[in-house]
This record gives sequence, structure tokens and C-alpha cells, in this order.
Amino acid sequence: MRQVPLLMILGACSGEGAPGADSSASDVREPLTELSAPLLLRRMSLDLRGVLPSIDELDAVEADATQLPIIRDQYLEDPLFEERLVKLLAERWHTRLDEFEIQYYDYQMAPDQEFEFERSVGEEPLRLIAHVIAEDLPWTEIVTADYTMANETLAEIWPLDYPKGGTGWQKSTWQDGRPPVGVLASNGLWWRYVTNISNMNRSRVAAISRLLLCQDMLSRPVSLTGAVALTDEDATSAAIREVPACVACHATIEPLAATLFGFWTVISYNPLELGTYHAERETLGPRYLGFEPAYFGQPIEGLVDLGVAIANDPRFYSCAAEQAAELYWRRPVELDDFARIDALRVSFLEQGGTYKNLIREVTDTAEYRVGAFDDAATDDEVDRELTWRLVTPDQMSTTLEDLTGFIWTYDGFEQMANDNPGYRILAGGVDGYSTTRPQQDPGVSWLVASKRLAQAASAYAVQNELELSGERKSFSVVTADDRPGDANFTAELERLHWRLYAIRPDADRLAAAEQAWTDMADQFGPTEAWSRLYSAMLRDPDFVAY
Amino acid sequence: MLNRRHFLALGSSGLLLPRRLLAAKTKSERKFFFIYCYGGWDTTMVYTPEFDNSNIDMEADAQQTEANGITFVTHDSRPSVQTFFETYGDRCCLVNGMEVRSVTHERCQRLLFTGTTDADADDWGVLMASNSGVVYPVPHLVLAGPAFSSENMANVVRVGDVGQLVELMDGSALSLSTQAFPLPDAAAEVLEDSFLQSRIARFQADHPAGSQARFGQLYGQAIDNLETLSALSGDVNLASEGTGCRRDIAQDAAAAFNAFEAGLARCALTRDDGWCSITWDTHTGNSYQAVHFEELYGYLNSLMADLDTRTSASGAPLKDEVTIVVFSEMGRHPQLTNGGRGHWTFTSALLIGSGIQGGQVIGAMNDNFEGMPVDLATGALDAKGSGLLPSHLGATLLQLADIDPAEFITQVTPLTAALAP
Repeated sequence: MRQVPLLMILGACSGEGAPGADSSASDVREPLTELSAPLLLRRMSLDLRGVLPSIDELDAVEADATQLPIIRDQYLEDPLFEERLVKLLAERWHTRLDEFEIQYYDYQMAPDQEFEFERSVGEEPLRLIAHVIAEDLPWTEIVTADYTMANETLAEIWPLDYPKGGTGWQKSTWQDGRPPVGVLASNGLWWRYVTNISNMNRSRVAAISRLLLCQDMLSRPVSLTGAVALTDEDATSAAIREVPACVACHATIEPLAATLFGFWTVISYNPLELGTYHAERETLGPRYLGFEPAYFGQPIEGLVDLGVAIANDPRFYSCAAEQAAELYWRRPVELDDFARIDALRVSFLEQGGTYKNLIREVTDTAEYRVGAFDDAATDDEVDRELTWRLVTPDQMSTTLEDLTGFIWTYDGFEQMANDNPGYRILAGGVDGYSTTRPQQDPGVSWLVASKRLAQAASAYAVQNELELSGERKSFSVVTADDRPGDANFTAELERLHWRLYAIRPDADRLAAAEQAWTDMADQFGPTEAWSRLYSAMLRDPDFVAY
Repeated sequence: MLNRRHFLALGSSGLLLPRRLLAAKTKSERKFFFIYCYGGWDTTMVYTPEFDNSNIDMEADAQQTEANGITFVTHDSRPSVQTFFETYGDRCCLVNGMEVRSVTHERCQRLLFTGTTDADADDWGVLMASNSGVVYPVPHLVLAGPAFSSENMANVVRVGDVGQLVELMDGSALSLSTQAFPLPDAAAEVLEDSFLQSRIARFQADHPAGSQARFGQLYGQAIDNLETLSALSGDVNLASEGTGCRRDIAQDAAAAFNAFEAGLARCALTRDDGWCSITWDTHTGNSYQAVHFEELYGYLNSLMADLDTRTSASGAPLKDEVTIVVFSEMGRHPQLTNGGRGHWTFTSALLIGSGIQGGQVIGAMNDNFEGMPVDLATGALDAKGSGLLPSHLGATLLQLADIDPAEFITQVTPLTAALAP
């Protein structure tokens, strides 16, 4: 296993074929060559905000790479950062489902409120976590907060004290007696990770363990054959206490499950049952399971203590480090990453346990900044590290909205954020149930989904800005009357390349774009030419990945 | 399709994958069509006749019967089941007693499809499509249902549960927008695509190694594959009209067979959610299972009749090249509760067609309705044999696909008893 110091400064190394390693990153490790400063800023902006850097920001880092960490800190204070976190965390927490056991019509909502309902429910726990991160609060608050995050939709349907006159996502408090345990008290989490009468919260224990401790209990090998007669209910109940193969897991699962009976429902598919905390059922856990509440062998009172117990568990911090690395490196962590992950954990704790510092550390790693390999790279490194990462449908959607003002909606649905009737997993996204990792490579479904999105966004921009003389977002100086060779035309192309790709185009590249525009304009006119050219630019390999 | 390491090695040596290659008429390989019954089917209604076991609540008026070597449960409510086994039982191998080792839908689904809980594992269809000896434009066609992969997702072409791929391909998606836009003029779109392709070629030239090289190559390949699919889309017919409130599995099979005939795909998957898409997860109302099975086997009868009329790209009867797998992520509890059945960790799978030793049932249930160990080579019950797992199913399919199972599944031997000599 390769041992790599966390903050070793080795200096940039420009290998053959490298995209231009001219930055002064604090953690460059040979033989991984870092991206150029503008490309690295582009990567950070897409990861931290879901939009491209501005022209001014690109100019700044191109002139002085030491501006990178300064601009990164600005990104961490940008409201877009919190919005981006919600979507990024969904890749891990898997709560942005298209369907829950309770549907929008159970609350007498209209069909065009369906998407708003689904996303509000699924994003509740994510919004809480994102709020904690964005406000630089201690990471422990995600399991100890005495509030949740809610919007107007949730305030209408759940027992929440939503700020009077408030709009959008606001801190809100539950009014049904649930204890202050952050996401562990969120309906959105338990509507995703359901249980039933016989399961008695055991599956939820597995979810907690995976999400907060990075311990996947369900990955443990277990054979049920022969251990006990599965048709004998009494025997299976006894086996949990007596048969070693069962006790190995259930000695931990049962006491944890006993803490969650306030969320245990006896009527399925009932809005009141699932929407309300049942404090009166808290004592049923020990009665039905036969185990007193405990956290990995340590007795606790119940759910009220669970958050604190998790917050004091060292695995809570190592898991945070591991998850941050996965989310920003855009790949699973492997055994070879152990030293790096542990260094991140130590630094995370030493710097006060705030997630923003962890993000800074992760985005300083060589694994994050890598743009190329030189000849000294091992096969393992080449195979493992992603030097070019496909933009997710969420990133594409927010980037194009920022660039053009266009967002693809239909009947109240955001088309890149759902799978019926939308195109989320076709475009490489995560549905949180059967697709749990973003797509890494271009494929046919992705191609055609991204093509239509680019065409729609381009048409919108050209129509608003060049035909209707509306607010300029995509285009700066060019008009429909400008032609290749005109100063404005050339300037616009140069500017678009810089804005979209963080690349200064050479003469050949500009000439190719101008010729394409001319070919299109000769047949279809200047505005259609811009629609087609801009669409092609939004499908360029330099745009759809980073 | 190569994994990243192999690809990068080839890239650095200057060798690149062919840009477009349909299945050659002189070379063909086995194709696979998966029908995934979502929710957990009640095996006592068809596959596991346990009338002598007082622990098992068998359906009233059902009885055990046999056709073409397949012993199964028959009932007046499900004549299509009887018809199917009487007609095609000699081409079927029924595998009983497969232990999924979980009882949650989400986990069982992943275990059934991949043999593991590893979030990065490829499922059987993706593995076979990605390790084929032939390059397909649409290696694994997912008409409906899950596809599990991490590194090979580019080989999965999803149609979308409501056929979204079709509206994206024909551009009608642009009108499904609050701010609708007309489809670009076809000639204008050609120019757009042409410029994009020139850009991709330039990107490939600028990035001869690393992830960028792989990205550029796969991007170009995706464009070629889309062109091929578009040219043949009328023949394949990916638009699923369904039958009102559920998918038409025979229609999905036809699309899959069309894709196989045209040399477009190696694997295809659809998901059956049962009568009116209420799913097979019948915790109450177990009688719905009867309706589900009747409809499923009605579709199976239709698709088999369809399959028998077709010719593969190689010129051989398509039925000689297609293996059909019908499975569900779990079974149902042997005892009824409130008119329904809970989840059960043992399930069955039906293997049909090419490469399958038909007319047999492998595996059985013990008095506790648990799967009994079998000798993998003979299929005989053997106390010292192996308890059947989804990984055995996967290893068997990989072997059928001429892929060494040991490359992808450790310490699991295929159920060779299910394979024709």
C-alpha cells in the first residue's frame, strides 16, 4: 500500500501530454500531474457550486494560481454551495426517490405538485446536512440538531413549526415530541429507509450503520439455511439470541432497533402514521424485541441518546472523511486509500470537525486535482484515478440554467432530476434505488439525453439574447449581424471557449468553429447557426466533463 | 468493452477499438433475455409443489402435475402455465431453492442480479454484454428494470420506464417542456453533429492517454452506436405501448428479439410488475399471484411462439442463440398471514432455450421450505452438495456466454447440470 503524506509539497510536474501543470497546489504527488489552474478552478466550481467559474475568476487564477484557494473559499460561502451539497449528498444518502409509500394525492395535492412533493420529502434530511455544512457548524450537529429543514410544502403536511411568513427551506422544529437527533429524526430519511411490522426497524439500523459509520451490516455473509427453522416464528426469535451466526449481527442490531420505535408504524401507507412521531411507542422496542436500547454494547436511554452516541463514535468521523473523498474524487475509496483517508480524518478532527475544512483538505489532495499521469504512474493509479469526470445531470442542469437561464421542466417536473417522465438515469444520474452511482462514461442513453438538453438550452439562449435582445447571459458582444472575421464574432468565440471550457482556443480551433458557423448560416441563417453551434459547444467533450 | 486499465494500455500503444461493428454474419454468440418479476413471487403457485408438507399453506384446488419433465403446480385459474410447460417444458430447466440471503427488496435485487452486495459490481447482463467477443452498438438493452454497474454503465442503453429514449431519439422530448422548442431541421442537426464529431476527433488527438483518451473514444463510439440504433429503430421498435396499466412483456420480448436479430444487442432486460403493475409483493391478497402467473405465462407462451419464427444475424434460428431467464428477487413465506405471504429468502428461476438442458427440475425444498443442497454437476439432491445461490446462477450464465466465471465470481462453480452437453 502506497503511503502518501497528506500535505507534502512536491511542486508541479509537467509530464508529456499533461494539460498544463502550472499551478502551485499544496498537495501534488508524483506521478499524478495536476490540472492547470483554470481547469482546476472549473472542476472546483462544478463540484462545489454546480456552475462554471466566471470569466473574472478564470482570469484571476490564470494570472496567479495562488488565487485558487481564495476563490475556493468564496465558493464555500456561495448560496449555490448549499444547493449543490443537497444534490451531491443524494448520491450517498439515496433519498431523492420518485416514489414513497405515501404519495402526493394522499395529501390531496394536485398532479402538478407531485415533483415538488417528492423532492421536498427526499431532500429534508439532505437539507439539514447541507445547512450544517454551509453554516460551518460542527459535523456532530447532523445527529444532534433540535431542528430540521422544511419548506412550505412540508410545513403543510407535517407537524412542523415553520417560520411564519417564511419561504423556501428554513429551520423548523417538530411539534410531535421527537427528540433532538438531527437527521435521525427526519421523516425524509425514514420514508426512504422503510420498515414494517415484522422487520421492527432492523433495516433502518443497517441504513444508519452504512450512512453514518460506513459499516454495511448487510454486506456480511450470512447463510440462513440450517441455522433455524425459518417457518417457526418462535424459533427465529430465539435464534437471534442463541444461535451464534445470528447473534453476531443481531446483538448489535436489536438494541439499536429498540431506539427507533417512535418511527415504527402499524398501519402501512397511512400519512398520519408515517408523518408523525409516536413517542408513546418508544417503550415497545424493548418489549417486542426483548433488548434494551444500547449502542454497540453501551446502554443508552433510547433515540434521545442515539445521536450523541454516534457523535462520540470515532467511526463517525472516519466515515465523514471517506464519504467526502468518494464524493469529490468521484470514485469509490479502496484499501490503498486508507492512509489518505485516515490523514483526512485526523485533520478533520484537529480543525474542529467542520465539514468545510474537510472539503478544503479533500480538494487539496492529488487524487482530486489529478489531470494526467506520467510514466511513473502505476497501473493501479491509472486504473483508479479519474482525470476526466462526466458531468452529472444535476450539474449539467444547474450549469445550463446559470449559463442560459433555461431549466427543463414539464408538468411541474424537472426533467433532469426525475425518472418518470424525466431523463435522470438515462442522463447518467442516480435514482437512489437501483442506480446508486453516477455514470462515469459516455453511452447511448447519456448521449441522446445530453444532446436534447443542450439543444433546448441553446435554442433558449439564442432566442432570448440574439433574437429578442433579452438579458445577456450566454453571449456578450456578438449580435445576429456579426460574421466570422468581425472583431465581435471572434471575441465572442474566444470568450465562450474560455467561459465554457477554461481553455484559450488556438487559431485552428477558432477557425473550425467559424467554418462550422458559416456552413450553418449559409443554409439556415445566422441565428439558427448560433443555435446549432452553441448546442455543439454544450456537447463538446471539454464541456460535458471536467 | 474493455475495463479502464486494458483500455489505457491499448490507447498508449495506438490501438483503438473499432468505431462501428455489427455482429458479423459469420460469427454469432448466445444472447440473453431477462424477465425480472419484481416483488417476490410465490413459488408454491407454480414451481414448488409441497402438497405433502403441512408446514406449507398450498392453494386450495391446486394440484401437482408434470409435463415434459417439469413438475409444477397447476390450477384452473392459470391455464397458461400448463400450456407453457406442455409446449416448451422440454426447453426449460427449473431451478428451485436458490437462497438469496436477504429479505429486503433492494438488497435481494442486487444480490439476485450480481451475486453480491458490492455497490460496484456489474450485473449478469452487463458482464456478458461487456465481455462479448462481438462489439454491439447496444450491448445491454434495458427496456425496464435495474441495471447494476459502475465501470461499464456505458454499455447499458436504457429505454426508460415510459420509453423516454424514443422521445429523446426522435426529438419529441423537446416539445415535452414548459418552454417547448421545435426539433432542429434535420440538415441543420447533421451539421451540428458533424462539427461535434470533428471536435471529438480533435479531443482524441489531443489526449492520447489517460481518462481523457478513454472518454474521447467512448464518446465517439456512443455517437456511432446511436446512429446505428437510430437507423434501425423502426425495426427494433423500442416504444412500449403496454396494455393499459402494465407492460406488455411479449412486446418487450419482441423488441429484444428484434435487437438480437439486427445484431444490435447481446443482452436485454425487462421488468414484470404483474397484473396492473401492482408488483408481485403481495403481503395481502395472495390471490393476485395467480393473476400474475397467468399473465406472465400468457406472455411466455406468446414470446416463445414469436422466438421460434425468427432468424439470427448469423442465419441460424434465433431460438438456438437465445437463452431466456425468468426470475424474481425473493420467494414468499410458506404460511399465509392475513391472506398474504411475507418475504422468503428462497426463490426459483426458470432457464429457457439455448444451451439449457431442458425437461428437468433442479433443486428442492425441505420440510422447512428451505432450499436443499445439490450436486452442481448432476443436479441431484446431495446433503454434501452446494446450497444454490444467485452467484451459481450467474456463474452458469457466464459459462453459457463463453466467459470464464472465475474471472468475475470467486469460489463458485456453475450449475453445469442445467447446461446442455
